[in-house]
Amino acid sequence: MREERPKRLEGEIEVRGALGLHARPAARLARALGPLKARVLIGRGENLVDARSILDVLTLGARAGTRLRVVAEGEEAEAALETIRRILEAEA
Amino acid sequence: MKTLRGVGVSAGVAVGPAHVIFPGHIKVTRTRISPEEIEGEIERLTRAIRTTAREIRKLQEKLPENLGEVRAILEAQRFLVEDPSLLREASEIIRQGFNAEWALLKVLRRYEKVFSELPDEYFRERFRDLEGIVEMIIASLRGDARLRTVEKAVIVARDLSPADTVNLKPENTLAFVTEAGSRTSHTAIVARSLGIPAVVAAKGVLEEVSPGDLLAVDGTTGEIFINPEKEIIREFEERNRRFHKLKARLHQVAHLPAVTRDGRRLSLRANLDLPEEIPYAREYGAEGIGLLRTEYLYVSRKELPPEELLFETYRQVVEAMAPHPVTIRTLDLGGDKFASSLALPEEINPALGLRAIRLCLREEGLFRTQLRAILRASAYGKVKIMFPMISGVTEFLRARNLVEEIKQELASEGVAFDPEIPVGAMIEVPSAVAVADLLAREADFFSIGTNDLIQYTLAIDRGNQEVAELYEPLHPAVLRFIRTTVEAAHRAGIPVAMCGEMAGELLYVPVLVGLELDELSMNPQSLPEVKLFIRELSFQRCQEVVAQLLRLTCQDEVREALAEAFGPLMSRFSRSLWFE
Repeated sequence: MREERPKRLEGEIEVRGALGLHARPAARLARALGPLKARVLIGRGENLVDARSILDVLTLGARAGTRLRVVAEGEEAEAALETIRRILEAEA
Repeated sequence: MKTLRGVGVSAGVAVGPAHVIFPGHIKVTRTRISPEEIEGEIERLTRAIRTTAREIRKLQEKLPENLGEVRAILEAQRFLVEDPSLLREASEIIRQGFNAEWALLKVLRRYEKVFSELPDEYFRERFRDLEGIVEMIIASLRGDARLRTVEKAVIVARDLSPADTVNLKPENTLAFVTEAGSRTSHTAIVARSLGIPAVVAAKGVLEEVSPGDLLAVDGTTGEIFINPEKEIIREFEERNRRFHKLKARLHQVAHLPAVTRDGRRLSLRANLDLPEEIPYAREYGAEGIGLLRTEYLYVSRKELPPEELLFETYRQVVEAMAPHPVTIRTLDLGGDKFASSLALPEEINPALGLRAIRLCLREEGLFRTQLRAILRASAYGKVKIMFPMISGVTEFLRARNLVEEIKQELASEGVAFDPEIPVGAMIEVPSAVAVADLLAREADFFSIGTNDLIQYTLAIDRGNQEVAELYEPLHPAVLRFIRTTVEAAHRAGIPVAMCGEMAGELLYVPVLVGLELDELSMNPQSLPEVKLFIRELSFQRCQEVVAQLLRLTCQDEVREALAEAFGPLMSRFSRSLWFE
């Protein structure tokens, strides 16, 4: 077997912004993830949604303090995970 | 002719036909399409989405740089339009052989269910944004990008999402009137930033107004006239000219002091609900904030706001207004608003129930958090604290002692604050007036909240249409109460402010000057006119007239005497504003 399997990373991230993961951070997330070569899912347990979809991210209803599971798959999975962490852990 | 009154949240006046948006009315037809039409239909949807996103971007670019708040809202809306899930799910339904409009509606209904099950109100409300956006895309699909826009009209709705406001083409919108909402709702923010007059919280407006009715709307006073008589229309033309004249002169007026012709100086400050309003307060020349309300931080969420959030909000306002002072009112809400987080019982008579300072003293944890945030913000400028609904000395001292405790707590933690922070009492309850002399010994200042003071003094709920007419700021009892309060304060050497609606109404200004109020705090948009009027007045003359008014028996006499004394000056003043 060759090393052709895409990279798959997982992490847990806490939503820190006072208003939770609301529309604007969700938009920031969508924009920042846009160009990255990775499929990114976010959610709780097995209930994961596309992190690039504001709509689906909003349906998580994640308030401040919520811990979310993140799965990133693809060439730039690391960068994607880092990006999510940066945005969700921002205090604003 | 019928009159309604809401809360004026964006200055300016308008007269025009009503365009009524009834809630939840997206109408689309279901059409079957053949397999070979499917790809074309998806392409049609993709194009409509692109067009809609482009329109939002266009509006975004039209907004001035300083409107970061609204730009950010629109940015989020645009991303929502281009959301990959929206397109993917709608495309799947199209592939089952349905038209794009129907597909969008199906997707909308699915998300409606998902959102309605979310526990947090903020997230549930985001469904409204999606709904607005889907309406825009559907309009674009129909080849009519401005489906709902009519010729210039006053838009009447239950509430408006930012998407609605974009959809409604600002240049054709004369004014917004919504049944729901507050100074902090999207409609208010967007309307102010686009310079469109707006009245929110206009109870009953959807019932009273039919499409096509002529409306006269004043975004400063919150008045709405339905099918107004000729004189009202003429008066509105005058108001409109006055408003534009004033606006053009704002930069000359803003720095002028509010001083009468014979040298009596008053401080004019702004009432503020949101940090986002700071630019308006400054533009209109506010010498600080006389009433900073932050109740929206408590009602827009399920849990109580954390200290950091409160602190950041206060600090932002305090820094922006420095060196002018900012008077922060502690929480003024009823227990009903906290039913979820505090598990409080339902009340039969909430106006006389567990609210404001009573609630804060009962739920000390909540109060301490807010006081810590206020004290911490006091290190960044000039801050004053005031307690709402104080009814006597014991209550005031309990609250004041808590402030002292928290000062010690912060000092021992090494956190900076202003040790000299003034602590004042709001005078809104008749019993506080009766003991004003005693309170004046303990408080550093008074601030008269006229809306509640009048309501409690006359035992009239202004929201109740049956008795609203009896609500009368010029009632002899109200005038006497204001005088008693001012006298007690001045004898003790402390200043008195007024922060109710009465302070911002031109008619009452000579009375308040004559009653020797030291500070008036009002909606930012009322400031320039009130200030210019004060500069036309003579303090001595105001005092003489007030002495005469205080001898009168009933409110009708007071009104008449006031009109006689200041009517000519007022109309001269109004004329000068638009002929100069």
